[in-house]
Amino acid sequence: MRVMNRPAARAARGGLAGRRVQAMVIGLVVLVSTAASTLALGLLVDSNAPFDHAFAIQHGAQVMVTAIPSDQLATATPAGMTAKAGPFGETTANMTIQQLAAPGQPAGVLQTQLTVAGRASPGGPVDDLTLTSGHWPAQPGQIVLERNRRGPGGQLGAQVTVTGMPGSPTLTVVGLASSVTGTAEAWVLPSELPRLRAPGAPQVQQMLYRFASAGTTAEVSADIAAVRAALPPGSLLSAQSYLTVKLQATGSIAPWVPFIVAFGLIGLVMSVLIVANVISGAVAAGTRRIGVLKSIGFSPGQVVAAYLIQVAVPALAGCVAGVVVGNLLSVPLLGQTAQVYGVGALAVPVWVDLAVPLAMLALAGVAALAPALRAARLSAVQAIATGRAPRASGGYAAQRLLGGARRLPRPVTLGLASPFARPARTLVTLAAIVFGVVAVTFAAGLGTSLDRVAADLSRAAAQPVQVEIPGTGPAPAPGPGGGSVPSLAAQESTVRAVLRTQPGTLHYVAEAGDEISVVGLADRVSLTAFGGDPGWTGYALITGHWYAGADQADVNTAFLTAAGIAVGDSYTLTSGGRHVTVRIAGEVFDPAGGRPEIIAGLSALAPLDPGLAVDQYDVALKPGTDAAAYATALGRALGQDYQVNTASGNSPQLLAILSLVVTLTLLLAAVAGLGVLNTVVLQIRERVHDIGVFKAVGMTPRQTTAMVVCSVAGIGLVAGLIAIPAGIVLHHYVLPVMGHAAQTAVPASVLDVYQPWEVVLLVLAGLVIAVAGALAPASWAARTRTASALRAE
Amino acid sequence: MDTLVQLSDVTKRYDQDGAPAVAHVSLAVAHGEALAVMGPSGSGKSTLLNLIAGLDRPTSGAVRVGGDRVDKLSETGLARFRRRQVGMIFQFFNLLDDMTVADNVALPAQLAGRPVAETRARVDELLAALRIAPHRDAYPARLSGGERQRVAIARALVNRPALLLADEPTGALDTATGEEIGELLLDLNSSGQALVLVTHNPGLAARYARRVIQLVDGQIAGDAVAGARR
Repeated sequence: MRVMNRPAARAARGGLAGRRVQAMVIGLVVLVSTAASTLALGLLVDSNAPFDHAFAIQHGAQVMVTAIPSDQLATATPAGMTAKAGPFGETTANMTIQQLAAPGQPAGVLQTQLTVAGRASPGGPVDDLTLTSGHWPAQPGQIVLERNRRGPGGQLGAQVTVTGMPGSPTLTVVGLASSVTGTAEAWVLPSELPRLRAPGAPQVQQMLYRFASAGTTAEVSADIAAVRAALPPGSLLSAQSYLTVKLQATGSIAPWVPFIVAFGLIGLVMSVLIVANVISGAVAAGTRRIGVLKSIGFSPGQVVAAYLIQVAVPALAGCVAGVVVGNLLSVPLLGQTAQVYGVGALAVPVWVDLAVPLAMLALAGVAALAPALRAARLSAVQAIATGRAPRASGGYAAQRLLGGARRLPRPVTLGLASPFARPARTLVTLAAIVFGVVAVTFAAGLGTSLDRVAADLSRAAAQPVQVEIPGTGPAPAPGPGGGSVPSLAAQESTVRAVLRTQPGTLHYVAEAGDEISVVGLADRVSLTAFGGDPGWTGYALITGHWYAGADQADVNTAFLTAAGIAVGDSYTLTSGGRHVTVRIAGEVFDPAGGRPEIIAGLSALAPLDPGLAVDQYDVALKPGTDAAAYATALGRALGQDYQVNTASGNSPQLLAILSLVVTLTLLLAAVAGLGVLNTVVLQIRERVHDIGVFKAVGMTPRQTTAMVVCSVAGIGLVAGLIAIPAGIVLHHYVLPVMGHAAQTAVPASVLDVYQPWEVVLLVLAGLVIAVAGALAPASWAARTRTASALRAE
Repeated sequence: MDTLVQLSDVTKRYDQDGAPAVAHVSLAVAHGEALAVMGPSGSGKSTLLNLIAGLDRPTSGAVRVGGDRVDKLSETGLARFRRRQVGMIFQFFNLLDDMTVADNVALPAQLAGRPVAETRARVDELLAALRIAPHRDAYPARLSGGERQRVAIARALVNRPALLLADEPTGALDTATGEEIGELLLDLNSSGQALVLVTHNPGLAARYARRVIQLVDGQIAGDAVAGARR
């Protein structure tokens, strides 16, 4: 072994020293491929199970119960239990959160109802909370908010006033935390909780459990039964399974999985193609050297070993660096992904960090082995001859044909003809660019589609301003100075009067919303009712048209699926003994978190839901009106009792996803560019003598650059032409799958996003990748000294 | 006679610490002159030719060809200089295997941007003059050594250069074919074509050049008029 490996290692070292550019290309491509694959696979794995990941990190509560306080609550050990936390006092409190003023923005107020738990610390054997910013309450008067509930008031230092309580206690937000199973929406010290509990409200406590067996609904049900049995009869008020929370979390993850899978698969295929191309090309280019080694006494085994080591060294370096880069890139992306998923911190799994480089090394080895074995079987003379004159058998006809093209400069035709000399290499390079441009095309369409989805769902363009009606419900906002609250009709009258006279108002319509149970539908149904023409409110229609009259309604996809009906059918809604029959006029694009939704006139839905009352006015503005200035003026005119909001289509979630799309696309385009770089480097190495001849007969550096760039520009252009339809097909396949995961169909406006000018630009993306990959070696070729090139074999 | 090539104290070192390939060479070649450069292997003959052709740059000294200060030209300037002033013939022909004979010959004219019709006419004229017109559409691999060298000569002449540089033009040919190529070069020189011929063959130098210089260790060891020329 020593006898074989020492010369092999020496020969490999010599080979590496003599072929630094190839070694660098191998290292770089393996680096980028490993980084892209690590990132893609890491995201794939994390997108498949982020909830499980966060659940494991936080030791999430498999069963959360609320119960009447008793001694047994703390001491009971239900059968099969492995860990518990609590009891923690729990209450529900109405709160007013004062939003801090941001630069250029006025301070705001958020009124909300939160479930508050009393905990001395965020840690524990169960539901080990992730404190994402700030600190845990250290004294009374401090509160930590659930990170995902932060909304407009979720800033450190914000003031929270508990309303409807004697003395209206005031708390300061000192931290933001996340609970994977949402055990509470805010936390205070246990000693603080009694101050927040409304007079007369019952005292309840929560207990959090983990069990030996809790993988299925049946097992969790058995665990809850064990808890019930361990507590005093009648003391258990409610029990929540983590599986229910997981189902909701998965519902928010699922729409993003298809596009991450698409990018991951493109990345893996490109990595395979380019690694194989780089290493096969490097081995082929080194055939002569193998012949020389054999001629001085190397055995075929030593030749193969020498070459595998020569390939393995830069490949290994690329793998190690690629894993590091992949992990570094994943930090912000997985952070954003975790935010999108509403779960704790995510990281590339260790097994991905090991599996990806090992797979890449194996791939490099397999790619190098076949040509090395082929070269090792050649006689020394054949190997030297093959290596010295690696002449292509093809391409003569193309050279001759293009040589006759009168309108094109000769360096251009020389370049355009060269891919035909090495058809196999050209095809692999073409495939790499095709996949790169498919990724770019898909990403461009996906970005536009997601933007339109965000615009459609926010309806910010159509109704940039909303006015909230204070209402007269059971928990009204107090009037200024505790005065009496005007009737709903009076509030509406006030709003309409101000809207009519406010400069810039184009349209406005009253909107009412509620959720009711409907016979025959498992989920509660969201009701959205308009008091006027809703045609301008910005809902995108998937099929059909807007309702016309009190006997028609529009519904979302989840409603159609749950009710088993189609647009054009009639459907009778039954709730609490009341019946309303409507004909389904259209299918609106509004996933609504998978919840069935029906949109109709107020007069159509009011008979079904007596509690349905106007809660806001949607306002459209005249062209050129500044929404923020309009909202400020309107807010001044209406007074403090009315909240005026401006809608924005820019959600942090959308930005996170778009940055993910851009990063993956750039990585894949870079990999395609490196594939081109490798092809051009191999091509130049093989034709360096010819380049010397070209220069000797008068080819200028600029003409040399043009020739080399044109040798891949044609491939890039063809790749672009092939890739555009493929990218559009991928987009049209993945978007509906994403929509399906979000339980909605997708409107044509979200799918038909490719404009003719965009398609032209995207075709040029192949050219850009090809030219970018070729520029560095082209410049090297242009700088090559003619005399040195002529001496090259 | 007017001076076409002027080398003034030219030195070329490939290695800072090593011996110079060409050392303090001063040389003049007139228009229409045929000069043979002789010397043993490693004496600096090919380096001298490369310096005149602008394929390499001197470490010191000045190289002037037809009014151009070759050692001061940029890479682009050198390429244009080679198109205009110089035609080169190599020992191993240096033809491009994937191009036909006609395409090989036309290449320098095409790179120079000459009109298509003019190029075609010039190529036809040269192929006929060098008796390789029947091989116009053949690829170099199908030609004999002598035919390939004729193609290389045609390519060197296509832009009507003032100076023809030949580096061991018969070195890869059998004796009879070498004689044939030598006669061809002689004919060209007789028609006024300046020629610098590098060879280690004293017979060839004596028969086909009017003047012979001897290079030894990069320095001119002798400069004499040849006597046996036809």
